[in-house]
Amino acid sequence: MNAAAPILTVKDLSTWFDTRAGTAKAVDGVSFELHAGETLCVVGESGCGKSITALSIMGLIPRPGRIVNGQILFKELDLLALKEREFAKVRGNRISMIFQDPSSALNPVHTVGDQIAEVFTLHMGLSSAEAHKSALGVMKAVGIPDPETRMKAYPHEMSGGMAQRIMIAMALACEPEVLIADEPTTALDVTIQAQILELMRDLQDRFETATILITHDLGIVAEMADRVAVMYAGQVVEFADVVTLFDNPQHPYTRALMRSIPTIGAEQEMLEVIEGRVPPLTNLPKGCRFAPRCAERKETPDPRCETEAPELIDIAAAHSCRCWLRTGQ
Amino acid sequence: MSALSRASAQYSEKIDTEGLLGDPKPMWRQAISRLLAIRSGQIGLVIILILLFIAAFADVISPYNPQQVLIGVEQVKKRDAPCVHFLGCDTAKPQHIMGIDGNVRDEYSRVLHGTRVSLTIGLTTVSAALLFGVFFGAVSGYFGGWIDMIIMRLMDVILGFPSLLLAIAIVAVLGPGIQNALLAISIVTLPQYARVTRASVLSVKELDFVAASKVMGASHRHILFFRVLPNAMTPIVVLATLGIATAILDAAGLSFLGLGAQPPMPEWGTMLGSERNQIFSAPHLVFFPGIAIMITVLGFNLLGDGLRDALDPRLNHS
Repeated sequence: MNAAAPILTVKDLSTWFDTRAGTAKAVDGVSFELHAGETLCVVGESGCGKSITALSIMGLIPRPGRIVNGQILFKELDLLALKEREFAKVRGNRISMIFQDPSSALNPVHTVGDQIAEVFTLHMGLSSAEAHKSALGVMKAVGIPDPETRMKAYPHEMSGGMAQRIMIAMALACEPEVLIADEPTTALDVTIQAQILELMRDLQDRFETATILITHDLGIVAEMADRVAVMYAGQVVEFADVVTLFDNPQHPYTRALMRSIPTIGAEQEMLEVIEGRVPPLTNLPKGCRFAPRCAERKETPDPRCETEAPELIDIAAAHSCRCWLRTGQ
Repeated sequence: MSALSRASAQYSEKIDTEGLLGDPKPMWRQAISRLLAIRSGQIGLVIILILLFIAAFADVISPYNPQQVLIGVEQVKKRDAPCVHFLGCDTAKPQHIMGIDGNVRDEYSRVLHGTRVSLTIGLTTVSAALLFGVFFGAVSGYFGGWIDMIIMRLMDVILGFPSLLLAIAIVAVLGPGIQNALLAISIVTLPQYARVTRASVLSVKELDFVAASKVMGASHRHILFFRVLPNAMTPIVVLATLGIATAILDAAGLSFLGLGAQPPMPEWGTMLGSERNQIFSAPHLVFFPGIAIMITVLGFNLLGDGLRDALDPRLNHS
C-alpha cells in the first residue's frame, strides 16, 4: 500500500438528516483514506449514502442534514472547521466535483466558455481575456472538437457527452488534488460512457489527481478502481483493493451484488436479485443492517446478526469486512 | 462507393460534429424571434413602438405647444368641438382634431405630450419597484430563514392594503405631486416583484448547476446574482411588462383624484379629472385621454402576454 501521507482522510464521518419521521442516518461512521493518484470507488445501491458522503466532503450538505460526528482532513487542513469563505477557496481549486447529469449541472443562460473561464477568474484571478484563453486550453485537453466555436455554445446546444466533457474541463481547470465524481456516466449512453471514463483516466494520469468515483455500476468499478468501498445503508460494509474484491468478495452483500451482474454468454433464465429493499434510514435494524436481506444467514445462522451491530474488521491485509459470519470465529 | 460505405462515412461525419448545431444564437435573440411569431406580441410591440415614437417626437408632431392658451391667438372658444378639415369642417376655421380644452388649449397636442408623461411614469415606477423588489425577493428566496421571514412579512403588510388605497394614503402623507405619486406606486407594487422573484429563485436554487457553482468555489453573492437570477428572470420580465400597464393606470387614477400630476402638466388622468363634469357638454375632452390610456394599457398587456408565451418553454411553439 501507499505509505505516503494520504491526501484526504475521512474519519468516522456521520451525516444525519432530521426529518419528521425521525433521524435518518444517511452516513453513519464512514472512514477511509485517499492517496495521491489513486482511484477509490464507492459502490452501493441508491440511497446507501454514497452521494451524501461526497457532499459532506464538499461541505454542501443540504438542509436539514448535518454532520454530527467525524473529521475530514484534506492533507493537514480540517475541512469541517473551515469557515465558509475559506472553504470556497478550497472548493473547485484543490477539491473538485463532477455531477451525475451534465445537462442540469451547467447553467443554461451562460455559454460554456464563460462557465469554464469563471473558474479561472474565481481562483486564479485571471482577467476575462486570459481566463477565456485558458478555458480554450482545457477544452482542447478534454477533447472537444472545434473548441473556438464550441466556447460560444450554450449547454442545451451540446450532447450529453460533450456537456460532461465541459463539466470535467471545469472540474480539472485548476488541477485539483482531489476529484469527486458522482456517477459521472450514469446519464450518458454506453459508448459515450467509455469515452468519458477513458478521458478521466487519461487526465488522472496526467495531473496525478486522486479520485473518488461514486457509482453503482460494477463494470465501471472493475475498469477504474484501485480500491473499492462497498456501502450499504450509510455504512462501509467491505473495503478492499479491486482485484481482491472481485476475486474474493467477503461480505454477503458484495457477493450478492456480484451475482446480480448479467454475464454475456452465460445461460441464465433470470438474473439473481437481492430480496427485499434497503431498510428505511430512520428505522434501521438493531443488529446488522443487511441481516433482513442476507441469504447466507439462512444457511449459517448466527444469533448476533439480529441483535448486535458488527464492526468493520480487517480480515486480511488491506481487506476489511463488516459481518459476523466472517469475523466471528 | 457502395450505399453501405456512404452511409457509414456519413455516420462517422456525424460523430465528429456531434453536438454541433451551426452558429450558436444568443438566448435573447431566440426569445425575440419567438415573440415576433406570436400575434399578441406583434400587436403589443407595434402599439408600444408607435407610442415610443410619439413620446420621443411629441414636440415635432404636435401642432401647438400643449401649454399654450389660444385666447387672442386664434378664433376659438373654450371646449370647442373637434374640427377636422378632412371631415368637412369649415377650412376657414383653424384645425383642432381633438377639439379645445377648458383652458382653451389644443387637446390633440396635450394628448400627444401625455404619452411622454405616461410612458415615463410607467417605466420609472416599474424600474424602481423592479430594482428593489427583485433584490429583496432574491435575497429572501436564496438565503431563506429569518431574512426570508422578515422581508416577506414586510411585503405581506404592504400587500394587505388595496394598492390604490395605500398609494392614496402615501401621497396624502407626502403631499400631492407627480414625484410622490411615482414613489407611492413604486412602493405598493414592490411586493409583487419580491414575491415572484422569491418563488422563482426558490425553484432555481435547487437545480444542479447551483450546486456545481458552489463546488467551483463561487461566493453566495456571485451565485445569486450571476447564476441564479438570470435563470429566474422569465416570470419577472413578464410581470414587469404587465406592471407598466398597471402603473400607468394607477398613476392616471391618482392624477384623476388630483393627487398625482398637477395642472397644467398634460397628463391623461389629470386631463380626465379636470373635465369630468363636462362629460355631456364636451365629451371629446374625456373621450380622447381615456382612449389614450386604454390603448397604452392594452399595448403593454398584449406585449406582456406575448412575452409570457415566448419565454415559457412549457408552452408549445408551433
